[in-house]
Amino acid sequence: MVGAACALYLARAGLATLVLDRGPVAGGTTGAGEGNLLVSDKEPGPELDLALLSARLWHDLAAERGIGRAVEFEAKGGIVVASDAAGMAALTGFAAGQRTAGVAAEIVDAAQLHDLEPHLAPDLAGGVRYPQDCQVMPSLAAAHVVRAARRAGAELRTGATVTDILRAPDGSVRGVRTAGHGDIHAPAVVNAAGTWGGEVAALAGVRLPVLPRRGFVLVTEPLPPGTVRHKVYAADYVADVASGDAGLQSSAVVESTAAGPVLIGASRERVGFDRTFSLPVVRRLAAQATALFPLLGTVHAMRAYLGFRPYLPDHLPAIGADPRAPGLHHACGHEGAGIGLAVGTGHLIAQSLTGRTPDLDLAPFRPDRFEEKSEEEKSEEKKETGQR
Amino acid sequence: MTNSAMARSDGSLAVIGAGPAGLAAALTAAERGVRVVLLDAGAQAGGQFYRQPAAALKARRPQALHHAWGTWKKLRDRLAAQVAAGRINHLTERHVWCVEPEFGDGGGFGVHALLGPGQTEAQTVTADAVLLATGGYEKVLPFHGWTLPGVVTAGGAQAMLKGGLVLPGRTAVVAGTGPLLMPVAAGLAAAGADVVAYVESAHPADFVRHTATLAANPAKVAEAAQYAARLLRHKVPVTVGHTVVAAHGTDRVEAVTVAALDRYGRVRPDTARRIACDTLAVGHGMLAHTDLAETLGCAIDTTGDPFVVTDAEQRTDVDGVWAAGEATGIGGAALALAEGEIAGHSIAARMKGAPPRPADWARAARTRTRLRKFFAALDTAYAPPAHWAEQVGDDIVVCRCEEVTAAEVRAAVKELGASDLRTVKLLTRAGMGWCQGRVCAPGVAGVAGCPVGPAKRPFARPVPLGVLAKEPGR
Amino acid sequence: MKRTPLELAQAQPGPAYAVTVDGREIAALPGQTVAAVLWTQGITSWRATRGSGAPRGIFCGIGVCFDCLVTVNDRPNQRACLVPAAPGDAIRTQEGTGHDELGHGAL
Repeated sequence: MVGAACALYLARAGLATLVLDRGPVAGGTTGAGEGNLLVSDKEPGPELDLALLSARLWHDLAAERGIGRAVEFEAKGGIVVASDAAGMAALTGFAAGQRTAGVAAEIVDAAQLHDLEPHLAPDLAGGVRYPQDCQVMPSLAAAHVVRAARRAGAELRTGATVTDILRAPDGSVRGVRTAGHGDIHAPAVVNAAGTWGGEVAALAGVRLPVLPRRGFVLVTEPLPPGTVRHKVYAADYVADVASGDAGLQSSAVVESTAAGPVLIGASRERVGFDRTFSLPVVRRLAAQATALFPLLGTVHAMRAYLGFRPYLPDHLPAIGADPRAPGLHHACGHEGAGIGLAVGTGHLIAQSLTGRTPDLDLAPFRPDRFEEKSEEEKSEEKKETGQR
Repeated sequence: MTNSAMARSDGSLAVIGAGPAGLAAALTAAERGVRVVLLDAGAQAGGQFYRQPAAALKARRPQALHHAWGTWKKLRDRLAAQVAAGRINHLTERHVWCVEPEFGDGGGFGVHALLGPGQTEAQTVTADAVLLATGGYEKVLPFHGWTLPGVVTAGGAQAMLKGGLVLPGRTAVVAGTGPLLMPVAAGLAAAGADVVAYVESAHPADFVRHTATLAANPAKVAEAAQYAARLLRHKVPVTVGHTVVAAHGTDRVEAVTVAALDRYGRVRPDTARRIACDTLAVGHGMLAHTDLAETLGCAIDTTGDPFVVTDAEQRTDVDGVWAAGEATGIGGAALALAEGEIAGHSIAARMKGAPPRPADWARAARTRTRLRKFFAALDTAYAPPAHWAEQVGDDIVVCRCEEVTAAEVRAAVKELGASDLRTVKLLTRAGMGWCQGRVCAPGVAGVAGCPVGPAKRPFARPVPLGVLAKEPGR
Repeated sequence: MKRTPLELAQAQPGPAYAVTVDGREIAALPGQTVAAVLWTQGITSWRATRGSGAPRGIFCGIGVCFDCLVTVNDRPNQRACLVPAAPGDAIRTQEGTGHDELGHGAL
């Protein structure tokens, strides 16, 4: 998704753009995502600023002819729920901070919660509603944004693996080498390789410590529209997202889709690229979801799938030019927020590459901000990026 | 799991599937002292091949619906003996949705099943070894009108007949390709249906190349001759080198259009002929159920139709997991029996920590070799017409569950750059419905021009979230 | 007279019992699945798809295709080919997701 968005904005800015992916469109984490465009789960700071910018741009993009419907764009809003008074107090405090950054957040009590989501468990203390949260179908989003990019002149080559980043004697980046498509010369290379962004950075001889953070999603049988009306999640989700813990973090996230099935998340684990199905994790997701929405107890899970979120140590993506390799730019490491943040990222990348002042200060997203790493941390990383 | 866990002589074996392969394995292992839990979705053992009429129908001559009844009787009686002796615990109406490795304190396998036809409650059986005899199901490639009520799979018509003693209608056409069509047509005719056409797309010339292999299996040749004779007796017109081009009707099928195929497998429109019927029983081969194996991490061969890879002892590449029968490659009941027997021998030996003795199953091994070769030959001869995908019109629904048309699949390929089945699925929803692509994968892949590839289905059946949410008891 | 499958297998089930199909009472033989009962009545479709409302009934007959989904005693999405018909069962055709009780319309 991030690569697709970069391609769109770059092509529309008039740059000759070639998108390469070793797999198909949406073949990476995008195909395993839920399609969240959230401001609700972010505390004030650079990521939230990026989310607000990206949300505005997503609306603009969705309004373009054919795109909104095609990508199942829904401005449905999100609701974060608290199970007790303490949780409610924490939520309320968090929301107050977010409001100062421009997030719309509305406290709802238990009765209002029931009006908004009739099937929620009756004993919740209350929640906060975030009308700015939206949803898309991520694979369709990536595919249609790529198509729009191609209409603007970009070229797409799938099944093209980048095996090297070519550098001139003065260290500047000159293009890429691919398996089967030869060398491609370009003065600028954008690393939008998501969870594999660290490997691509290494091809240019620079370190970008992107680590995989595995997540499972449960998919239910089709349910009628209105069963779950917003993206609904439990308050502890925010802590999980921000956590640096490698062990299993999971909290209930439930949302419907335009097609009918309800998606249930969310789990986070640092297990490298282990693709083995984990029934215990999925059981936990089911338990948390049915606690929030008891009616789901008799609803069937049809399938479960997993993906790897690209995680950088300070939980901010890498966006912008890499001073260590002139001509190399990064647009990766968005953890579980890639779909939502993609469009803003693409816009900033295009501004950056065309010499315009980016709409956000890119300093917090500098790709070279991780240089001071201990040997121990480096070997930790090596272990986790070991398998693909 | 470790070899030490495996070598416990009091260890238990879970056999999943009570068709020919599962029964042969369970009986062979139990008769050699292994404690067996036999789990099966049906109310009675037999699987698809030996499907019995529901007990309450009190059929006094069930053999009238069957071939090789004698073989079944022996299996049935051996099963009763082992159950009575307490060596086999036969759990009926257990719908296994997942086999979990390293389960519980023992570190063996957790076999998770939904109970009964309602499938709202669960049971978990623990075992030290597992034999997957999950069987197969019909492959049907899409064509105009295939979603009309009254259009059923050939195996489905047979299952409803054998199990429920019912026919879908009075006037049937049996069509498609494959050895299953013959017993289905003969069975429907014997049960009182007017089988007005038997339409096989393969041509006798397709078999000529394999004469030696076919002749090496006299029993199989005789079986085919018997079916041919029965079809003749029931005056079923047999047409080869022809295919059903379309099924017609509004609320149910009322007629089909049949046409000849040229030597390249293309339809010759000038030969189209309409046949009135209220039932179309159609099939284009069989596919293996590989989900439980795949989720366990067993190697699945995906060069053609997927199947579970096994060695000479019917072991998968996952310690403690064996597989036998259609799941390891479509090959019919006799092959399933041989493979099940071999697996039973291997399991019994290895669970005792003793080296297995291949001499003990030499005869079964010879049968296995011979029948695998036979079915490989049949597979080539009965391949669907070479250009079938080109003849799937844009308006035809290729994913039945989500009603995705061929046009949408083609658009995903041409306009959105999809080049593999998973991406086609993500962009069109083909394969995202209740059946999770089991039915539509060959059709969608064919229309998209990509391989079927591996399927990832952690749940072999839909599981209620309430069942998932509960930690399993023992 | 043409023979029937029951005759072929010389079946002698106990007396038929009543079930209802969309409120209409019909006879069911002991041991038959809901699908078998419906086929005996000449009914070959009991569901409308959630996309185009197309009629569906049995396709694979063995519980793999999920075409034959029907509502029995208010429980939707039961595979008619697997579920035995019990005396007094209320069988209802279904449409859409089968879950009329959820969603906007229900509340």
